[in-house]
Amino acid sequence: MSDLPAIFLTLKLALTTSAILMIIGIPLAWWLARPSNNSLKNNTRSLVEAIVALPLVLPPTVLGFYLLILFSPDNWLGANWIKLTGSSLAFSFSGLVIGSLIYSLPFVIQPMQATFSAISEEILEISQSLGLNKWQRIIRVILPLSKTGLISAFSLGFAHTLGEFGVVLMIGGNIPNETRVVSIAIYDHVETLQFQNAHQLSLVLIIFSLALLTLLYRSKNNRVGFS
Amino acid sequence: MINSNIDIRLKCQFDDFLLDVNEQFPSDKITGLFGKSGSGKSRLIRQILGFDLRYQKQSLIQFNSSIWQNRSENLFKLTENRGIGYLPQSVDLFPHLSVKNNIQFSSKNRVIDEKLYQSVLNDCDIENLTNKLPSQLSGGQKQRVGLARALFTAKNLLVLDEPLSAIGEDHKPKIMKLLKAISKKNKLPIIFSSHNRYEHAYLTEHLLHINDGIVEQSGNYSDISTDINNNFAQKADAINHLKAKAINFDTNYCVNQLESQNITLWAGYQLIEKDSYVNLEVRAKDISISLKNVKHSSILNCLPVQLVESIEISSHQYMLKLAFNEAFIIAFITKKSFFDLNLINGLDVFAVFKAVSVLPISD
Repeated sequence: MSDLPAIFLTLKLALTTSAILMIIGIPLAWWLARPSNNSLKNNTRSLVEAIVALPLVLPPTVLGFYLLILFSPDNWLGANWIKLTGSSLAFSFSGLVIGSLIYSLPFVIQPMQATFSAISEEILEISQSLGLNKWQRIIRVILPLSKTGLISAFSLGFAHTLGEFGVVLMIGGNIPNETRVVSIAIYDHVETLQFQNAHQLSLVLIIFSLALLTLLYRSKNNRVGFS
Repeated sequence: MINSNIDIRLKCQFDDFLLDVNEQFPSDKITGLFGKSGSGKSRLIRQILGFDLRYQKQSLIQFNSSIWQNRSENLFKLTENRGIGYLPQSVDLFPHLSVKNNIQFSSKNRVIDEKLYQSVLNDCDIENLTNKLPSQLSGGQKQRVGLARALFTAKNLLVLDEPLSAIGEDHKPKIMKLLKAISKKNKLPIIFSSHNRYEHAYLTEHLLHINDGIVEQSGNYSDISTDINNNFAQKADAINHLKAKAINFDTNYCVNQLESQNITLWAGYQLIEKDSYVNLEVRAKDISISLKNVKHSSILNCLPVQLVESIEISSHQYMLKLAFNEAFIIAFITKKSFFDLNLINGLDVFAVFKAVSVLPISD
């Protein structure tokens, strides 16, 4: 199948994006989830929450449009990127990763935030009284208690990146092995009236996404011993 | 000389509440924090643990010779390094860990003190629960597991916030006995909070009576509880605490015959083992005064006492302090009785109370 590179590229993009999002997301979601008495922090938090949720409501084209401008060599980010790597951000895999990070951010942050806010202050205090320092509390209490939430954050980030189209179209174009992901390939097939190819690729995406989501919900429904 | 004191000097301003404590008390005893809910007991406990630092205006906490915090010199020992076994009111077991792993949670590098582990399992009577998850336990079982975890962890001090409030009346005496035994056996100081006077009467050696963030009384429990001039003893639910030895259990009537200071006493229906020592708890308002030895009455207990002090505590009530050989008993009576009987300090009278109003707890 001639679309295999597109499938691999899509998986690579989804995997890279969700992995980076896990690293950025955990501290950010923790900060968003924990209560505070500081009103300045609460106001800042509301603003950050709104920014994180923005990709949920904006058309991907708006996001793509601004990113394209930002990636342009006339701009600070685009210019420095070229200086650093020698290649342009627009219409590149790295550009796609940056776009996907923003686009999929809310899908990773929201389940994390929910799972983190379910961890009580008391359980952290108890672990402190039991001799755990800050890092040990993260490893031995916070991560195990939020395991299911973290798994669903990763899966949703992954699945959502798989289905990305608008942003990619704006900032990535259709360069094989660089930016031609599955959704773009399907669009291209339809444009050129290759319906059979479009069918095959769409079916692959449907089956894969369905399997992923089923696995995710199964792990959620099967967990025992938690209340 | 080794300094065996806990020294607490705190000023903490909460939203609409000031905790102002300046106390030194012995660190080798059971210290009981008494006060109604909202009086500041839990807040004080949280300070001892090293939480809620943002409310502190002044703080100094010293445990024996080790300084746990001193705000003016910017010294602070982290909670995790204080060696405190802590049982919060909400127990807070780890939901993802078995009972066994909850108790052994504090073990470093998987080195587990098996002997200590077995002994706390045994003490808390939870040997058969070790493989269960917290969600499979009843409230009382959770409390016992939480206590076991605190005991297993405590190196310097055991801190218990309302440890008995969630435990059924059936299990209470057993846990109270256990706490007392632990304090003796392990030489482990205990600080616990409770709004229940029966628990203090049995457990507390040093009492801190807290009201509105301020320590109103601090001192030896039996001194405070029999001092009718302070508002700890003056409360309507004040109780007496008598040590007695079991002599015989009358199986016909299911009543215990006991002896305290050579006087025979009768109590309750639970079998108390012969020759063992028990604590008899009797509410001050269940004690009446008689000028003559009471006979031909359903009231079984009649102690010869001397009225040492009396005080009018309300428009209709008097409170009496009665000397019973070495010990003291307090009693509430009506103003009417006080004058009808012509009671004056120094008078020899009898303190009478029903055997069914006595709550015996074995020592």
